[in-house]
Amino acid sequence: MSSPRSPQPADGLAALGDAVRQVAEASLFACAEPCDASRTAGLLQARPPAEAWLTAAVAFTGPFEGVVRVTLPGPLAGDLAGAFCGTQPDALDAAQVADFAGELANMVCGRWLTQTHRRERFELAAPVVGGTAPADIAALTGRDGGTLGIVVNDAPVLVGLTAAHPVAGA
Amino acid sequence: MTGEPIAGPGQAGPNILIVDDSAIMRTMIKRVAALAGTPLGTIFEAANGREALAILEQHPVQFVFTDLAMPVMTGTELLREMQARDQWRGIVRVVITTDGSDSRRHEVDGLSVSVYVEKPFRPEEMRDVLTSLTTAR
Repeated sequence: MSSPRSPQPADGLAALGDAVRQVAEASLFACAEPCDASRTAGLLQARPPAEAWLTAAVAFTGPFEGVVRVTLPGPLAGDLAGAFCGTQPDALDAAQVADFAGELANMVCGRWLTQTHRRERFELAAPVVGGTAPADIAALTGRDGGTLGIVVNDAPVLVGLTAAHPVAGA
Repeated sequence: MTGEPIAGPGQAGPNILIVDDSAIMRTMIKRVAALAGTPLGTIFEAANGREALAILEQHPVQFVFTDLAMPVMTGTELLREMQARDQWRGIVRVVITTDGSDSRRHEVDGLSVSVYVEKPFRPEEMRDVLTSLTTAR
């Protein structure tokens, strides 16, 4: 069974935001809530200017295809990774934090697709995790309707969705 | 591949094999299992289905907790291999995956999966799964 259309950014982002909230509450013992552009901008401005950020991207294919991206400050990623596996953040190395960021994006994407398209079949690619320069963070929020700001433990997380046109023949 | 005894000397408990390509997810599941309050034996880890099969061939395992989407050998392929071997007939199989779609659930029909857990899960969910599985043995 195919979806009649690929998710429009607003539809998908709202549901993605809910998926982030569920992941945060269930596995990270964290509070997460979507915030508007103004609050997102304020949270971003409050971050240290040279702070390292991580972006984890999960590509998916199926009745429609796209990419879900989760971008978060490095220190927040470390804190959440520590909460996830029950250890102090400074006990984790960079590779473990990156692994966590990838798994976070994987859970967000998977939960979103399961809840919104349970009757359809998707394949999720392995997460790709990399650093994002602070100078590029503000640009993420400028993408036309494709990025949602979420506050997690008083820190900003950006969730992006790029959805391609439905696959031909789907 | 790693094996870590959880039970102390004289304690009896099932050996568990955790299969997931994310090392931190395996750590999380291992921690939750250890905190579940049920006696456990050795917890083994594998990053994919092929590593899992190697462990199963060398060590007695009573529970397998497996992800589905993994490189090299998927969880579904692992479950099919296990289903084909009589010596593994008694191993309890638990799927832990982000994919809760109907079609994925149907994919593992007939592969003796006892419980299908969707990620993210709360620690108490895993506790309840372990409690119910160990009680049923």
